[in-house]
Amino acid sequence: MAAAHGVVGDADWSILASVNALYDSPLRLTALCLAAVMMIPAGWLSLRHMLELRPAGDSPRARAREAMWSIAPLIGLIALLIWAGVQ
Amino acid sequence: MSTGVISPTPTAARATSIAVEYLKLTKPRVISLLLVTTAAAMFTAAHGVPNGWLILWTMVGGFLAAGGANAINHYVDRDIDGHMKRTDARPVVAGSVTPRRALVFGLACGVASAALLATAANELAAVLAVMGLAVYVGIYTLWLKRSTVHNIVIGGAAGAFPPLVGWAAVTGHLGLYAWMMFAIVFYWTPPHFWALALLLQNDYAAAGVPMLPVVHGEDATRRQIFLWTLVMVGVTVLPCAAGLAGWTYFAGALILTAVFVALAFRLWRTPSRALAKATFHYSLLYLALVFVLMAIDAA
Repeated sequence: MAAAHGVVGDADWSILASVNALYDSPLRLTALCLAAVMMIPAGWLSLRHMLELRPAGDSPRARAREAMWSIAPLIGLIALLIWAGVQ
Repeated sequence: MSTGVISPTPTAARATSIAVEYLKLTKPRVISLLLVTTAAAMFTAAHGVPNGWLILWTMVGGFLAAGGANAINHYVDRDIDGHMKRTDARPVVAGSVTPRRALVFGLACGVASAALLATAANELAAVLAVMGLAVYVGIYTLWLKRSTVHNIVIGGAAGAFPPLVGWAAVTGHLGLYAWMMFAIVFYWTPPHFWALALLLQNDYAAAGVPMLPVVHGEDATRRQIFLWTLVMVGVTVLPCAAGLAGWTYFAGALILTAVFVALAFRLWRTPSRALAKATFHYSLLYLALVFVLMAIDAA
């Protein structure tokens, strides 16, 4: 019963239970792999491209701000991917 | 002698004309797609057909929130709208509605939306609708639109609130599926908007709005459209990865995204206004159909 709740003794096994659930569903596994393959390389390439495009005359502050706007959506992507995977 | 046709009195005709000008302030064509996402989120959350009155009042509340945001946008952007062909006939620029009245109308719509949603749905739906308005006006229009090429990336969050409103109206809370709907609209916005910006870049340049093609050129924009389309494909299938949507949605989403990717790839490799236009128009259809698919899959 304890395993069903994801907790045995002091250890929290809920992440392992989530991974097992993922392997038990071909749809979930296929979709997660597809999402990771599409999102991570494309997101990385987009970020690199945007950082290359920064005008040379920008102040360090402006560069930092633009970098932040470029990176923030990628952090969101990774969070979403992990959130979906551990359901 | 009567002809049997009742012609409108001058007063009635004038009232109609004023009403039409105020309706234009809300940008009803833009809102229609937002309402599709709201309705689809409601059907998905309900796993079927929600209460008819709830659908109606949530749609009206959503229309008022988005319409209010658009009216305030007309007020804020009145100095640049006159420089763009696409916007130089807007009511505030044309003088058919004064700036002050547009602002008051926008704020009144926002208040009416919050009151209606809080009464007919729940407080969470009302708060989310007002947040969508605030993000559109405060973060997109006032802060980012004129200051960064990432304006529509971050500002795109405003357009992602309607499915949250729909979901909250039915369930009273926000789950993972609702946030995934938010993410689908958020990551769909850049390829959608940049395709439009390719078509209107001269307008944006004239108005001094730093859209991506204006600042970094067409090649960079077409490349970013393709990369963001790939990202959007991944986000679109995430509900399946989380076990929230089934094979029906997955299969349909794959077909829809394949067409989007093909268009974005062709646009990247072949500079063409026609392809930019096709990508923009397909993106509208894409978002509507993806949300309809979610509702069908959940039924």
